[in-house]
This record gives sequence, C-alpha cells and structure tokens, in this order.
Amino acid sequence: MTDVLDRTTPIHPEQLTRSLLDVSVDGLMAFDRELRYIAWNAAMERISGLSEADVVGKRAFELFPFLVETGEERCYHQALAGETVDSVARPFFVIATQRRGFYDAHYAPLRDDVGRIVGGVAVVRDTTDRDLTEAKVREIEARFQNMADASPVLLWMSGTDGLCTFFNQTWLTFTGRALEDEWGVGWAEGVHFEDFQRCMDTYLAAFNARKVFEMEYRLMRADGEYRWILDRGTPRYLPDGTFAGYIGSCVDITERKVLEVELREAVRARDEFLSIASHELRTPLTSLQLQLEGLLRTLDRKPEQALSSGRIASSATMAKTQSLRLVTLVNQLLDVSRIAAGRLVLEYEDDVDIAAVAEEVVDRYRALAAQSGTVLTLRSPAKGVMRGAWDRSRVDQVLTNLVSNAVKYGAGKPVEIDMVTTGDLVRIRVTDQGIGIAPEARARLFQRFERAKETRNYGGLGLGLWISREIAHAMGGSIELEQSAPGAGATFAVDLPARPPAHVARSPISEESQEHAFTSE
Amino acid sequence: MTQDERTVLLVDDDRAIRDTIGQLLEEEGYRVAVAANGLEALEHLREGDGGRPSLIVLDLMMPVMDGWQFREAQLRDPRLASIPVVVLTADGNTRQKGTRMGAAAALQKPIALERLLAVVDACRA
Repeated sequence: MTDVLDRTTPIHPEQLTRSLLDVSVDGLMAFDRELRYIAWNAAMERISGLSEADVVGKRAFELFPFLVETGEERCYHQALAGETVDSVARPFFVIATQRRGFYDAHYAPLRDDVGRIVGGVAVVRDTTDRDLTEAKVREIEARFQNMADASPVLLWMSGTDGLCTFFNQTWLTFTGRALEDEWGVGWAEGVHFEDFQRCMDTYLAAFNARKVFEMEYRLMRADGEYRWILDRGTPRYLPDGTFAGYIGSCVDITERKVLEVELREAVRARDEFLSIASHELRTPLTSLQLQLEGLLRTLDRKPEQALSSGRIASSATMAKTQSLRLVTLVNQLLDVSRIAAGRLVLEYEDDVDIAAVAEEVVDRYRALAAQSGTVLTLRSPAKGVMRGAWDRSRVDQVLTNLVSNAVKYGAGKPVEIDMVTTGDLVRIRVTDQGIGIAPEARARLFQRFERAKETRNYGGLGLGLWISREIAHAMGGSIELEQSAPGAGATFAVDLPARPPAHVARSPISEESQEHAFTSE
Repeated sequence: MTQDERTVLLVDDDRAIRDTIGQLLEEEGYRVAVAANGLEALEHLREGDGGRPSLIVLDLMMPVMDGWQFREAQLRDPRLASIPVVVLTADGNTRQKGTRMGAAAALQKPIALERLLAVVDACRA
C-alpha cells in the first residue's frame, strides 16, 4: 500500500481542504479577527443564496444584520475570545437574496501555527424544515393555551394512560392549586369523598370504552367550599386516528343544583299539602254523606212511619256542622290563592272594639274547649277602651286561628289570652300549656303547607299560621312565636296597629267581596 | 273475654265521624264502642268489660297513636290479634294500605252507607 501511495501524485493540502469544504452537507465558514469572512463553502451558498465571491472579505454584521438583531453576534465574539459555543434553532434572513429560515451553528476559535487566535470557524446546519414545523406546533399550542386559559369553563386533558396532563388556568384558579398538584390523579384530591368513587367508576368505564361521558360531582373551590361541577369528557384522537386521551370541560352548576333541590322540596310540600287537603276535605264529607244517606235509608225502610223530629234535627245539625267545616276549609284554600296572587283585600271599619272581637272568638270556642277540659281565660281592658280602625273579620280570623291551635294542641290544660296596648299597637298573646313546639320545627312554622311534623295526625290544613301571618303583615302588624318548648306549651303573640298602614286603600267595597261565594254564616 | 257477634269498636279521632257511624250502626242493631285514637282503643280492648268486639273499624291518621301503630300492637297481643279490622282512610292508596296492614277490608272516605254496612256485616268474626 505504501508503494502505491508513493507512486501517486502528492495531494495538495489546499485542494484537500477545498474538496472537504465543498463535499460537506453542512455549511462551513471562517472569519478573521476583523469579523470578515475568509471561507464560505458550497453548503453555505445553498443556505444563504450568496456565493463565496459574494461573501469573502465582507464584514459579517454588515452583510447579515440579522446576526446583530438576533444576538448571534455574541457567538462570533466568543469564538474570537477562544470559546466554543453552540446556538440552536436561530432564525436568519438574508437581505440580498430574501432567503429566510432557521439554523443550528457550532462556533470555535481559529488558531495559527503557534496557537494564537486569528479568527473563528463555524459549522452551520440549515434546520428550516424542522424548525418551521416546530414553530407551527408551538404557535398552535400557545394559541390553544391562550384560548384554554381565557375560557370561562374548567378544562382538563388526559393522556392514553388516563392520567391528567393538562389543566387550564381557569381550573387552577378555581381550585387554587398548582398544575403539579393536579397532575396525574392529584385533581381527585379536591373531589368530595362521597362523589369520588362514582366519578372514578364513570371516568374509567367511559375511558376504556372510548365513550363520551358526563358526570356531576362536588369539587373544592379555592375558598374551601364544595361546588357542584358538571364535567363532560370526550376522547381525542391524533390526525392519523390514534387515541390520544381525553379532553374535558367543566362548569359550576351549584346554583342550578340548589334550585333543583328547592324545586323538589316545593313539589314535595305541595304534594303533601294536597294529600292533607284531600284528607281534611274528606273527613267532614264522610259524616255529611253518611248522615244524609242514613236519613234516606230510614225513610226507605219505614216509609209508613214519620221520622222522629229528634232524629231529623240531630242529623240536620250534624250535617250543618260538617258543611261549616267544609266552608272553613274552602275559605282557607281561597285565602291561600288570594294571598299568593297578591289579592288579599282588607275591609277596614272605623271604631272597632278589638276587645269585643276577642271576646266573641273566645266565647265561640268555650264549648269546644270544655270538651277537652280546657279552660279559656281572656284578660283584656274593659270593652270600649281598645278602639281603632280594623278589618273586623280578619282580626277575628287571626285570633280564631291562634285560639283554635291553642285548644287543639293544649292537651286540655288552661289557655290564656292577654291583650295589652302600647301606644297605637295592640299586642295579643295566646298561651297554652300543651305539647309545645320543637326548636327545629320553629323555622317552618309560618311557612305555607308546613306544620310541625309530629302534628300531622292532628288534622287541619297546616295553613292557619301562614294565613294569619300574611293577614297580620297586610295590616302592618306581625305575628311571632314568643316562646315554646316541647311539652311545655307555646305563646304566640300578634301585634296589630290601630289604624291601617299608609299603603292600604280604605275602600270597603271591592270586587273581592263578590268573591265570597262561600260564607260561614 | 267472650266474642260478641254484634259489637263493633269504632276508632276515629273525628268526633263527627264517631257519632255518625256509631248512630248508623246502632240503627242496624250493632252495639258500638268508640275510641278517639289507637291508645284508647287498646285500653278499651284490654279492660275487656265491654266484651270482645267482633270487628274493629279503624281510622289511620290519628293523634297519640295512629292506626298503623294500633294494628302493630293488636297483632302483638295474642288475645286481640284475631279480631278483624276494617281500615278507613282519607288519602288514597286505600287497597294497598289495607293489604299491607292485613286488614279484612279497606274503605276510602267518604264512604257510601250501603258499602259500609255490607263490609261491616261481611267482615265481622
């Protein structure tokens, strides 16, 4: 081999260098201490569009201002200072040829025979194809991130393993946690423990089947409050159709949930009310119908014998009593619909003696109270002292409600009614010593369709206190449970001003009066 | 305690219903005892001075002790368990309630007199 080499023409070092420079697919170039190009290979010409002749002897930063604009000039100076340095994915723009793109470069110092730095050399690789794609991807990602972060909904993404890899800023702000906390299954720490298993089951089942899912759960907000979240997840696929994981969006539906619960509660209360109303209406109807049928049956069986007047009288009395009960119930139902429609009209009269009204109510209840051994006591100033402008029948209605409740729930013990005036206000207290009211039942006491649970068996529509309160309010007064304890009775107090509130029109005749289709007298 | 074929115990918290049904049954030749709630009815049955009724007519919604509670207590007491019960209800699901309570019959208020008398006659022990 040595022989063969020896016999060939010796290779000129310049030619070797020239060949190596031109065969390289990477750009190669050199510059002197004055930053003038001294070498420029064929690959550099391909990248820049400028030939060796165009470049050699020219100052780098004058020829290529982008080097200064992008900070690449530092690499030139570092090479001249004896360092090797890499730069990656740098943009370039050649003014003369309008070429633009990206490149990676490696710089090193150029030394003479004795090691002094006389310039710099660099390998330059055109990475335009790679970097343009990456830049596009980065731009798309940045755009997605911006959109995701600006979105009012909470967004998440998971990978093919089901673990979450992305949460938008809206999510992170909502939970008050960092991305690292939520990563993987960290997000599940914020899910209410009662909802956790159901969520995981739903998610994993949908995930394995690659199906869209929807689930509701409570997620802890940054302030520590659990909020109801509606989470919709959809599988996502790469352009080539391979499964890439899930993307999900969540909205806070707490308000909607609260409304749903309230609505269900209202429907339940209404259904229970209808059941009670049905029961209450059927009870007097039962006696009424049986009394009348009994009379007819007797007439049928003994047509020749006249019915005794005693028998007729007792049946008729019973029937009348039951029809009065029905009238009272129906009037209560009418009151409810009037009040609900805002059509409760008061008929004020001047110079009403409220003590006399109270006495009438108490007298009416004495006999019924006596049946259960209840003694009614009314303590009021002398008749004629408490005079004012009132709707006599509505005052009667409120007092009747309080007194009948006291007798009904009074367990046969004494019931006291006290009346006192303070300025223009009359306060009437009705006190019993009966079953009392549990503290937890008090909040519902004055609500429509409500009554203390344990009294469901006591009969009545459970509307009396609600109607009484609405009437008292319409009169500018109020009604309250002053005190009560289970087993220790209750005191209700009603305050009624002695003249109508300013907004109440005092026309005694209204279309309302015509609506009294049912009257109890 | 001897069985009295023509005695009915009427349990209802509504006085008017007790009076009305009581009067009508008496006119048909029954002896009628009344109670205003389940507890009074149990006391009446256990005192036993009125004789054992052949039938109990039982309202459900009553204060102190309702119809369901009474029926449970009745079934637990071997001396009382076999007395047939006719249930009166005022708020629907009548037949279902009657079946669940093991009643001989269930009547929904308001009740037609003929039906009441037929059921009472058919159900008494």
